[in-house]
Amino acid sequence: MNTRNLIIAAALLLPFGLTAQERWTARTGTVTFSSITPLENIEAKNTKASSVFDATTNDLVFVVLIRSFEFEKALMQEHFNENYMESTKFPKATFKGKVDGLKAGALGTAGTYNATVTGELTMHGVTKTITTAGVFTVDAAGKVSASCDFSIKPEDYEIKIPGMVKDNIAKDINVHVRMEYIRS
Amino acid sequence: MKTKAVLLVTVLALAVGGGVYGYREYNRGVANTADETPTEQLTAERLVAEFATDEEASNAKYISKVIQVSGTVDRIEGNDVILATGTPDNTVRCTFDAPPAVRTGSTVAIKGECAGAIVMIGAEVQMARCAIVE
Repeated sequence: MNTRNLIIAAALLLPFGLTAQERWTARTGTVTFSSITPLENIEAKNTKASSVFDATTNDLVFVVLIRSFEFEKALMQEHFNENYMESTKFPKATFKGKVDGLKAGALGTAGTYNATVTGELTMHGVTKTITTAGVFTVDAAGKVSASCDFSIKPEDYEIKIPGMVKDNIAKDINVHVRMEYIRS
Repeated sequence: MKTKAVLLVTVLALAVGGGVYGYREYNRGVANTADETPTEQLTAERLVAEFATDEEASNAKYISKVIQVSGTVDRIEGNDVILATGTPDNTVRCTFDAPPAVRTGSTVAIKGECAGAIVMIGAEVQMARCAIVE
């Protein structure tokens, strides 16, 4: 009898346990970056970023594979992988951090919510703390997306750029991240 | 005088040739792997299992290599063909330069450059510059 009551109690509480954790995931997030100089503009796009956002703890993680960045020109893609990012040695870029300023339950209501994202970005074997403004958008159908922009300096991540092309690559690389989340 | 003219023409031809080569090389687009020989041939299930078990060893073995992966088409998302492995969240995501003519549920063999895996929401191996193996 005692066991039966326990099972019933557990069964009744189960739905609450499930709703207590509000977890959002994305597998086809977009990360683009651009390097703008008077000599040339370099742009690359990765549409296969994965992300997990836990709206109860505000923990945010996203991961991209370096070799999944697509360039228009083959030579740029080859140099990016082989010379600059050394993608066989450092295959991914990872961000782990917290979202601040997003009210609990906000993602259940249509609207645009500004937040601050702070965390550690690891790439090319180097970890740096970054802070940026992010925007969460919930559309009328309840679809949740998030985006943010920030810039990084290649030298901060020990990415060596040969003297010959140093004027072709910007000192600050602009990064744009956009995720469309599904509740899981 | 004649030698000088020949020399001048040769130098000019080399400069023009070099310029054309450099220009074409600079603008060369990203080609798919249709003409490349795969270093490994295996099933989607085995590839994902290897990454899920030992990511570091699999990174060293597969990243940047052209491999041939076979499996059932789970779904098609834009330019990506997602191969099933039998475990729902474990997949191989193959990116083409245009949506390929394959059907969901069919068995296919795909060549591509392995980019590695994201082991977070299940395990997803990613392949770039993909081509369907006829």
